[in-house]
Amino acid sequence: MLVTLLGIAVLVFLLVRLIPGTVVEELLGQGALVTPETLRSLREFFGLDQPLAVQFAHWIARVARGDLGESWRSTRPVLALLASSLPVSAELAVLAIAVALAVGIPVGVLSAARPRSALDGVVRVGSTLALSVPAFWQGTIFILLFSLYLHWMPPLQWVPLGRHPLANLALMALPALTLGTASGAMVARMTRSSMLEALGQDYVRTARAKGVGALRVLGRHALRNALIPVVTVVGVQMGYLLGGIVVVEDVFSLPGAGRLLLDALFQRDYPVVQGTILVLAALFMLVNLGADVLYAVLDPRIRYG
Amino acid sequence: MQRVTRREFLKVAAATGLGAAGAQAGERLAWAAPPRRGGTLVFATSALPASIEPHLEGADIWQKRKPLVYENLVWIDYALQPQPQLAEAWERKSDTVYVFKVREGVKFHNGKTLDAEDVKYSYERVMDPKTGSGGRGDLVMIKRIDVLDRYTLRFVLSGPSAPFLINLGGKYNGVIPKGSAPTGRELLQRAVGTGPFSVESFQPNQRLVLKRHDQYWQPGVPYLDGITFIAVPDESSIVAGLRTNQIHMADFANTLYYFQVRSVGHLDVIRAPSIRWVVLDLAGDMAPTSHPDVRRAIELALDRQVILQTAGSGLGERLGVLPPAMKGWALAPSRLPNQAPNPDEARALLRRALPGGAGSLTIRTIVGFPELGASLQVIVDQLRAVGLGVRVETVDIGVWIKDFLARRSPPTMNVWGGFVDPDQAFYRHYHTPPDGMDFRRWNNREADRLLDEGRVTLDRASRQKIYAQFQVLMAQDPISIPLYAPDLVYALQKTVKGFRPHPTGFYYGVRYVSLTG
Repeated sequence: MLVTLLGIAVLVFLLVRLIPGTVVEELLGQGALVTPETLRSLREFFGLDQPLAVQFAHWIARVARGDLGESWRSTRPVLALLASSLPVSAELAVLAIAVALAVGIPVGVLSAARPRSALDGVVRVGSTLALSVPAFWQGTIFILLFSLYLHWMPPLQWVPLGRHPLANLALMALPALTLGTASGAMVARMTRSSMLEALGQDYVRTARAKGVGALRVLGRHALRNALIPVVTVVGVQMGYLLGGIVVVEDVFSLPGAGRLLLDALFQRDYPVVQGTILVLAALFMLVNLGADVLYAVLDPRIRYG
Repeated sequence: MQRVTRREFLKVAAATGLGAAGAQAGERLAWAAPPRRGGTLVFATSALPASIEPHLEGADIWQKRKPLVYENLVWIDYALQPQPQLAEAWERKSDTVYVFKVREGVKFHNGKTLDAEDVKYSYERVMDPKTGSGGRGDLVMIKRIDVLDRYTLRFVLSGPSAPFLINLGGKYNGVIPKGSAPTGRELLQRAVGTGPFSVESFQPNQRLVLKRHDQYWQPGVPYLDGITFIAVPDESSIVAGLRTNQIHMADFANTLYYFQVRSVGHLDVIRAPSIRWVVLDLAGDMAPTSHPDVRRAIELALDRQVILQTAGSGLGERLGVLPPAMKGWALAPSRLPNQAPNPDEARALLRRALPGGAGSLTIRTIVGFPELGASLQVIVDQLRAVGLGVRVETVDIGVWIKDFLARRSPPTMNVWGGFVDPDQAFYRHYHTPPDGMDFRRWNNREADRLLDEGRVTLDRASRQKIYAQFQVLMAQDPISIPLYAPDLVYALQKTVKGFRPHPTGFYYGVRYVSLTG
């Protein structure tokens, strides 16, 4: 994992510097009287006059000490910025996954229980549509419909969960629904497919022959085995969610890590970009590790090491 | 809603209980009913700055809000004239010596009393090349600043300077306590000014909370307890927020939202002329626009009214050179050459300039500036109609700024403003180095001569003639083709009273806002 993170660090360090323009130009803006002296002074201030290898060495040495540096635009420590923004994104991701599972699993199970029925058809078409709709469009449509016809929209000013849970959940409802839609569709399709396979197995036939009720067959016998691939899908979906988070946070004005990253990219705030991507990559790896562990819990046949 | 001219706005303002909120000093607000005190205004825009440094942060999204927190010796009123602010009065002793009497009893947000040393420190900080302020160029005429006594300052200039007073009120300035920013990092996230509001909290790019400065030097104002600025990147969400009463007021970057908000019954919508222009900048050292005939052909090929109607949805003014909101300076298009589209003459000029046949050029536009992309689409069609091919190049703003400041940008769409004097609009941008930057590499000696003369001519009538000649020159040999000035568009709940849009788009008018109900 450490080697992977080091590779990501090198990659993000180089990639962000490939983008033309630096924080100096962003700060000065168009039209400023720019003498070579002013430019030199500002570049020295940000350490941009140093060779790339030196800049990287300084940065990675700080990272090794647990210090991600400071934002060049705001001077706030990157860790502090992430400490305030990551919980927002984490909450959004968890709620989105919850929506995906709460909708996707039951829908997938029902669809598998009635294959080739009208319900099955609706689920299959609906899930394809849900996968195709871009998150930014869906979010904007939600805002429009709710504000226009219901005269309601999520609060535009962030309320932390700890301060006012109900207000926070009201704020997060539409973003979670937006972000969870595509994931829910994926979960529904995977659940349907796994359930169909599980329902065709001998142990299910045996259970039915022994007189076990339909619900018990579905829930206790088939579903548990069908969930194993779903866990894998959810783990992979975290990667999709990380990308979707940037868009959804922008549409719904959430102060999360996605929006932090987007602003930092536009402002060429290298420490924030590098630190945020590194932390998100580490989190992604941890989540997938958790998915692998859960896999082993659900399926005793799987053992690592 | 009808587009509001200044005269009409004042009539409506009087009818709804507003007064002529003009200069701070020497004028009193005349209210039909006294404004209600209290309340916090929630004001949404699509972005907020990453820092609130008074002398370093050049972003327009901070500059607009800065007059609420920081002040200067003078401020620029709605007629674009310098008026007393932290200076109670001044005297021009000679063409190069000005003596200012600093207002007594002014308190900074930290309780310190303002004196002349603070003023000297603040302006010298902007002038210091080591500070790296983008506003240094506006103060190059100042040779030295002398403190004569606790409340008296003398500015000695290196030569006569017509924009000197205007530039003292410039957007990069702001008086801070002496010694409050030794390293340049102290005021990135906090503010210590003298303005009607202090900064209670600031989350970069997201939220800026101001609270009333209880010791503000002007009695009776501000009326609000505070202002909360929020950044809502998607402006359709701002419309929804206005509709659901979460937001009191909004300033739209994309004027198209005007059509959405005007249909919402409980909102007032203000359109006002702006000193801002959407421009096609050409490159004086890159073929084919290095040839004056090609530049002229491009100008004659364009129908600017169509560009305004199509790209700007008609929300603005078609331009000659300067925006009409710069009253007293802007020449009407009827008084400038090459304003009416003439495709036949454009083709003839191109045949003369490019005898080899059809030419083509690259024009750059910027991601995140929809008005530029929309204008460019119309421009491409109009240029193709006269036989000039166009390759569109879309770049990120960071790329654009880098190339523009390095003076190597190809022909490009551009949008900027906020200047209140023609010297501010023209000198830095069009004068050759080392005195200016000539970003577009025009290298026009006659332009240099006119700009130098306009800078040192103190008589206003004479200056008007000089800058009239400059505008004619720019229309004859167009290194920049100003297309239109987009209107300022604000939406307010009907409970918001007292707001007056300033032509620069800066929020001077928010100082006198009150909330009813």
